[in-house]
Amino acid sequence: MKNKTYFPIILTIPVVIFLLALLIYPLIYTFTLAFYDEASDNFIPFSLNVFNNLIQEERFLKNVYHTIFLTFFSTSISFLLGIILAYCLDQIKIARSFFLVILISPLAIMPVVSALTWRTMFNPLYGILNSILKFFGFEGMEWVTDTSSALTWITVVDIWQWTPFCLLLIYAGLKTIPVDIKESASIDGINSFKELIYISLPILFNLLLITLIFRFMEAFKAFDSIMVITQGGPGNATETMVIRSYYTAFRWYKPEITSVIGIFILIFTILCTRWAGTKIGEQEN
Amino acid sequence: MFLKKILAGFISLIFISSGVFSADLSNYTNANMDWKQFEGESVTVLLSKHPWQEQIEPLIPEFEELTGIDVKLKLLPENQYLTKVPADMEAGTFKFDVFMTQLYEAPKFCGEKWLADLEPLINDPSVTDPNWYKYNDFFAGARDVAVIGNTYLSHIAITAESQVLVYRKDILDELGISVPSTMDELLAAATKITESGKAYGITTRGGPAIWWPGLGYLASYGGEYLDSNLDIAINSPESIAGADFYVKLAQQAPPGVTNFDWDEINTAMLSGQAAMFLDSSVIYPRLQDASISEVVGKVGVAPFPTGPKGAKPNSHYWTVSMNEATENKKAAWLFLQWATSPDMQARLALAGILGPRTSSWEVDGLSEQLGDEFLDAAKKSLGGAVIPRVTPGFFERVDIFRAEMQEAILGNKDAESAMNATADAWSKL
Amino acid sequence: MKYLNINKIICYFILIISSIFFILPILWMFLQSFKNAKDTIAIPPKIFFSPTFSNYLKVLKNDYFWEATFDSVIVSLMSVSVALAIGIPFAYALARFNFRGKNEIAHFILSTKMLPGIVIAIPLVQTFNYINLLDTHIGVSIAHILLMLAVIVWVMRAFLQNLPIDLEEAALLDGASRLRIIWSVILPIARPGIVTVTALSFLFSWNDLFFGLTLGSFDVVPLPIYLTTEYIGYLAVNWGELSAAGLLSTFPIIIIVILLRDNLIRGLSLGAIKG
Repeated sequence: MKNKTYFPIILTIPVVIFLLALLIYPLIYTFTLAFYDEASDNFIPFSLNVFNNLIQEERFLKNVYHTIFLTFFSTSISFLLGIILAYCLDQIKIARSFFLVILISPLAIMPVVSALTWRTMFNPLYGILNSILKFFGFEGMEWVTDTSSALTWITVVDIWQWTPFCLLLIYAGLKTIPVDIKESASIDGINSFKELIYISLPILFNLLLITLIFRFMEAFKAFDSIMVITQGGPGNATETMVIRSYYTAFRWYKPEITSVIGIFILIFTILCTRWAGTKIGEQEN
Repeated sequence: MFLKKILAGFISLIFISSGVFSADLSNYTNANMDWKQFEGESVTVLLSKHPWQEQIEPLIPEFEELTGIDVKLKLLPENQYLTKVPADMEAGTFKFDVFMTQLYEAPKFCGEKWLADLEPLINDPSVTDPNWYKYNDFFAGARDVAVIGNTYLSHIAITAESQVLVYRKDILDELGISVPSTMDELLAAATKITESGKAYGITTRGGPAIWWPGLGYLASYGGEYLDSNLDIAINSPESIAGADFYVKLAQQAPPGVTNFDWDEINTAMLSGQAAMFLDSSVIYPRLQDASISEVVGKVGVAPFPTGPKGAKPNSHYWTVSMNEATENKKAAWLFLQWATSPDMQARLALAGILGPRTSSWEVDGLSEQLGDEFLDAAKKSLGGAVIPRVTPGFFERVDIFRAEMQEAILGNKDAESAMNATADAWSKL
Repeated sequence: MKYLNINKIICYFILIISSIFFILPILWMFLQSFKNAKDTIAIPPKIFFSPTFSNYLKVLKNDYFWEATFDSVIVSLMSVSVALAIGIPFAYALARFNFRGKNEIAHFILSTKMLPGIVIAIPLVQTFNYINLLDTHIGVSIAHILLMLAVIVWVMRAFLQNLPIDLEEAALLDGASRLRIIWSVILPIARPGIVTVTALSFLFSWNDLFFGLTLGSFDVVPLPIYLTTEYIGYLAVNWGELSAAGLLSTFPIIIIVILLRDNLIRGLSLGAIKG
């Protein structure tokens, strides 16, 4: 069985070489920028000054709060909506592909273009959303131009953009569940919703976890839509960590802050996904 | 990629037929220098989307015919432009020879030696005919901008714009309001118009670029961002009074003003939703374009209104610079010189792009083209205009100002505490 | 039987409500794409107007639109095929074998997805400059592989874990080589998964703005950069043509969705093999 030990290594090597070649320098660069300090007395000249200054800043704490708000609500809502819609699609027979195409169509539109469209739709003066509200006799809203509601609507746009991602993966997963499992469930008198909760979803546990991880990471990194719609405003109401790191890198020439935020995001997301990643690893044994 | 060109050309052949180009170059060939000395070489140019770019882009084949230099042009919208240039500069891979610059970034760009010193080229008779290029024809303000931050000659101005008051004649007439000439009259007029329900009183930028019109109000109340020693002056009583005025004025703007950028303030005017506009003069020719404007023939222009400390609108000069890493600086200079020459700026002025040269305001036919009313207003405003003092970290400062102003406009705090908070944050930079 | 009907009615109700939400911006783009310049910025917004096809014609007549489409197609085809070629074997190794360090490598790949492009843009540009791949299709493709590799590896790993192992064991007893098993046994049954990750990877590449902007200049201008450059002016957005071009550029995606749908149905019948 000697080939059995070498074989997985052969399958692994291309990926590892590719990633190392591409990322080794950017990673070293990022860490150096973030922690290198000539004035330091340590044997290796590094310090946590940039990091310490950053976490004491009120604005950065707000950035973290906005990021967590956006990530939490966007991830959980679009994930649940993805499951519900996948289930509904799986249940119906008529017009299934019609609904599938409509529901995943936001994925097809380039984020920059759809974000620009949302931006005009939100405009309180000439946006279509306020026109619709007024048509039905409601008051117009401020949408993304008010500090108290801006982040909520940014979250809605993110949900709009990424629910199709969840839907697509979960729906594809549901389709791999053998028909006979569902049939035997319905013979046993279990209704289809219970069948989803107790049979299908547990079978798809790994896939669901992965969908959740990727959804989580995309929400954490949301950039295009915020940059186009509000640029982080009004006030700093929609400034997330990624938006802040964009400004520090390209507008304010403080790349060390960008690096620190990048590492912060990296560590935070690794901690958050570690449990899930290990869980998936355990499943196969 | 060659294959790509053929393929794309083939596909669009179904739709398109192209014309043959030829132009009169005598205004350029009369310069006492050899335009053809770099024939066969190429110059790479990166431009941000801008009216100046729109007008000069179709003229570039003339330059290619004049010099035999091949121009490779790349365009980007402003937001992407402001990402690409710093990213490539920081990485040391910026490969364009000539590109548009903003004077606010001069401390960083010159400090890092990213921009070439143009003075030796201007003084080199083999590539510049001083009697033809006439550097002193540039406004004194534009020549100050060229060496801004007491550095070296690196930014050649291409446009001169300042805040002017654009207003709807029909609405003001109907409500019996005379054209505002002071800040108080402006606020009263805006309030009256909004209350009449005919239109919103004013449209103004409340989004990312709020600092640009903002300085005009502050300055007219005697305030400024930084004083002559570069100390923080944003929370001086005068500055607070100016900011307070701006906050009050913004209440007469359409809802959503805190997200208003160029596109939004233009749309509000073009569609007839706002009655007054106090921002860059660049908008005026657009309002007369019947294919996009609902208000053709209904708009008037007046100089910037006077505040307690005079009429001091903000102004802006877009500039072009040369990359320090350019291999053939002389060839790149030929392009830069052609693009900023008196004849070119005169031609662009006729197309509505007011130039930073004295001569470009005295072109034959200019007043027929743009109207004396507009020219006078623009000239008067530019005459009293101010320009922000630039320091490293300029954009970080104005971003803090933006956030605080937006809070004030939304009524979350008053102008005084917003400006104090701005000063406080600035002092920590 | 009565229960089933109520269940279906609820399902249809949910689907219709969500469809309205998901289609609304696209519907708005669709309307905008048929308006002339004045109508696109009219206040209040116009639902009824005399439609014009000139926006679509202008986009289709534009040489550079086709060049950008060509760039996008080349870049996404190259990046997706390479990413699948190195990602699926690795996913298979993760799903079927135990070897030292496998979880560490898997986690490392996941973390590549977490590092925002903004943070590594500058050193990445330097790396590409060093190996002379700036402004080339290969260069942008390599960067796009970064966007999709983690998704391919982790999603395929989960899909492969759900597949029955019996078929492979049978093939192994028949004396087939391991690589041959991946090719002729695993790939066919894993098709729904592969098609899904292919479609998603294609989307990641097709819609990416950031790497195309920082790594390309003259020779590579993918569609997202071209669309925003061409139709967002300094003074205003050209809504009619931007919407038209935005909708036209979804055609490749629509084709892929149609392919995906067929394969999902095929996957359904293959799923029955397990029993």
